Amino acid sequence: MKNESQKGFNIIEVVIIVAVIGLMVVGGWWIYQNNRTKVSDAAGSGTQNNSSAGQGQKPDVAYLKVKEWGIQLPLSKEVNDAYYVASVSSVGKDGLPNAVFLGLKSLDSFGCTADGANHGKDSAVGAILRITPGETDEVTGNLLMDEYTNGVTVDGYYYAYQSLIKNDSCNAPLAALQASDAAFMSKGKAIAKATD
Amino acid sequence: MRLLRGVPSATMIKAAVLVATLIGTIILPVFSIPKQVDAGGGIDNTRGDDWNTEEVAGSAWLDGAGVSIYSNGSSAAVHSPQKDNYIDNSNGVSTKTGIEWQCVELINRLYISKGWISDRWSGDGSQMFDNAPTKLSKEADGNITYVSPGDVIAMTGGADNAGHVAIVAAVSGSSIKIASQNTTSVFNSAISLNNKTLTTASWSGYHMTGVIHHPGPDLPSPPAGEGGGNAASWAPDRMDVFYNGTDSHMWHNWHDGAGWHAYEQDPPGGENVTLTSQVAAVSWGSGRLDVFARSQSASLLHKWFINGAGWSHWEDLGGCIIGAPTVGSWVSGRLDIFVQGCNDTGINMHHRWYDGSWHSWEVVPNLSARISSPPSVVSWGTNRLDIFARGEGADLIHNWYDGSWHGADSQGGCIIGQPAVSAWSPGRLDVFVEDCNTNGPNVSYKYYASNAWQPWQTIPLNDNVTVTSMLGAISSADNRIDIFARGTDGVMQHKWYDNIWNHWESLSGSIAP
Repeated sequence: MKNESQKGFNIIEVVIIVAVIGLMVVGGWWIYQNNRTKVSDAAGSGTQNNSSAGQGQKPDVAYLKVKEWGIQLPLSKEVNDAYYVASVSSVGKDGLPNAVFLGLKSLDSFGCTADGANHGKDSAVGAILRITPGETDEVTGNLLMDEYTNGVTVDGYYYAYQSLIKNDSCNAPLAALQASDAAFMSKGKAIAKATD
Repeated sequence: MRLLRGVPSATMIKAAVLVATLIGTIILPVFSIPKQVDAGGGIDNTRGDDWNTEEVAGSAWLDGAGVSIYSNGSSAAVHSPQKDNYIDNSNGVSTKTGIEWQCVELINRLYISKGWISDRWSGDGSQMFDNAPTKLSKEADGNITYVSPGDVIAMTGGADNAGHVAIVAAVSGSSIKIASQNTTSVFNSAISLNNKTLTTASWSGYHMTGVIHHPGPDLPSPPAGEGGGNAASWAPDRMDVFYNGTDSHMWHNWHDGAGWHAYEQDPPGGENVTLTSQVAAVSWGSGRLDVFARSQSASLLHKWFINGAGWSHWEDLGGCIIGAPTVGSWVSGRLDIFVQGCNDTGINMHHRWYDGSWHSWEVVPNLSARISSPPSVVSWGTNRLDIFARGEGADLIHNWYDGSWHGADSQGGCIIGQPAVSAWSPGRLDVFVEDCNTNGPNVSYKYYASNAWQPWQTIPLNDNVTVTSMLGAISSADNRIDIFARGTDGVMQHKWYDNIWNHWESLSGSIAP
C-alpha cells in the first residue's frame, strides 16, 4: 500500500520554498536595480545631460584626460578648470606615474597648486591614484581598492580619486575646497578610458 | 516497491530541493564572507600582533642606536583606550612622545632620546615636515641632496589623509631602508633617492614630502675596526688617507675601485687652515668622514664629509692638546676623541665625545699613568674602545672601555711616538709602532686574538723600510689591514695584509715631520 504522505510537498514545505524563492527574487531585483543605477550614472556622466543632473548636480562640461594613463575624468562645472600634474615620486614599475595631483586654475593663486605636491607641499586639491589590483596600503594593510571605493577599473588598473584638501599650503576658502572635493569625488566612478 | 529504477522518489526530490535552498540561503553566504586571514604577526605583519608588542628592539637597528618599535595592533587607528607615552628629554624633563604606538610617536621617541630635540614634534604624519623643529634642517622632495640613517622621511596622503613618517634605517647607494611604527611592515626598502627626489613604486596613496635631517652627523653603519689614525674606510674597497703637509695644510687621497686618486689640498676648495699636528680620521658609515687635527692655538679642529653634500669647513672644538688627536666610532653618530692633554701633572689623556651633541672634555677615568705620546683609539664594536699610547717608560700602555673604564695595562715594548691600531672584528686588535730600533726596519707590531696578546714581532716583508712615524692603521674587512707611515723621505708609505703581508708601496706626498 502506498503511503500518500510521501507524494509531493506538504504545505509547510511549499511555503518555505516559496519564501526562499521570493527572497532570492527580491534580492536579485535589488542587486539588478543597484547595478543598473551605477551603470546609468557612469554612462550618463559622460554626457552633457546626465541622469544625475536632475538630482541637483550640474552637468559635466568637460573631461580631464590623463594622457599618461589613457583615462579621462568627467568634470562638472565646479571643477571645469581642473588640471593635473603627474607625481614624480610615485612611479610604477612601468615608469608611469602611480598618482597625478589635481589642481584648479582658479585656486592656484591661493597656493593650491598641483605641482607643489612634487616639491614638498600639500598644496594639491586631490589626486587620482592608479592602483594595481591586490595592492595594499603600507600603513593599514588594507586593500587599496577597499579604502578608495569610489574608483573604477580600466585596462587592469583601478583608478580612484583621493581627497587631499587638508592642505596646509593651500589657503583657498574651505567652502571652495569642499565643493571641488565633492565634485571630484562624485565622479570617481565615472573615470573611463579616454576617448580621442 | 517505492522506487522505480533510475527515477528518484518524491521524497528524494523534496530533500534535494530543501538541501539546495539551505545551501543557497545559509551555507553559500557563509563562504562568501571575506576570509579572515590569520595574520601571523612579526615585523613583516605587525597587524597580526597585539598592540604594544615590541617588534624590534632598539639595539637591532641604527646599528644598536635605535629605539624599540611597537605594534599598534590590528588597526592603524589610535588604540582604545588611548595612552600617551612619555620619556625624559636630555634635560631630564618628562616629555610626551605621542600616542602609543603611532608613527609620529616613534620619531619623537628617537629624537628626544637622542637629544636631537627636547620638546615634542607635533602634528600627524602629513604635518611633520611643515612642523619640523627649527633646529632640524629639511629638504623638500625634488631638492633632496642626501639622506642618511636617522633622518625622517615625511609623507602626506593615506586613506585618512594623515600621512606617514618613518626613520631612515639604512642607505645603500640610492636605495633607502626605512623603519616605521604603525605600518604593516617595520622595515621597508621600496624608496630610493633619484635626482633629488624620493621615488617609490610602492606606498600608493602616500606622497613624499621630503626629508628632515637629524642634527649633526648622519648614522650609517660604521665598518668594523675604524682606527684613530690618518686613514678611514667606509667600505671594503674604499680607503681615505690624510696627512698634514710640510705646508701645514691637510692633504687627502682616496682609494676606490679605480685605485688611488691624486691628492687634494684641504677640501673644499683649498681651505688651507694651518694645522700643527697630523690628521686623525674615522668613518662611521658609507659616505661619511670625520677628520680632526690640532690648530695653531693647540685646540682641536674638526671637519667632516658627507657624500653628496661635500666637505664642511673646519670647526674649533677647543681644548689644549699635544700632538695629533685620535678618533674612534663605535656606532653611527658617535665619535670619541682622545688627546694628549697639555697639563704638566696628573693624568694627561683627555676625552670628549659626540653622540648627537658634543660633550665636554674629561680626563680619562681610572688611568694611573701619564702618557708620553698622543694616544690611538679603535673600536671593535658597540660600547667598546681600546686606547693605546706610549707610556712614560716608552712602553705601550693600553686602556679600554666596555661600558666602564678599566685601568691601564702595559704591553711592554719600546716605542717611539704615537702607535697605530686596527681591529678587523670584535676581539681582534693589531697595534703597530715605530720601535726603538735605530738601525734598519723599525715597524713592530703585536696583536690580540682569542683573548690573548701575542708577543712583539717585526713586521714581515719589511723591505728594509725605516719609518719616522706611524700615521694610522685600518681594517676595511676581515683579515685585511692597511697601515700608513711617514718614510724617511717624508712620503707616505703604505703596506697591507690580506692573509699575507705585502710589500711597502709609496703613496708620495710631503708629510710634515
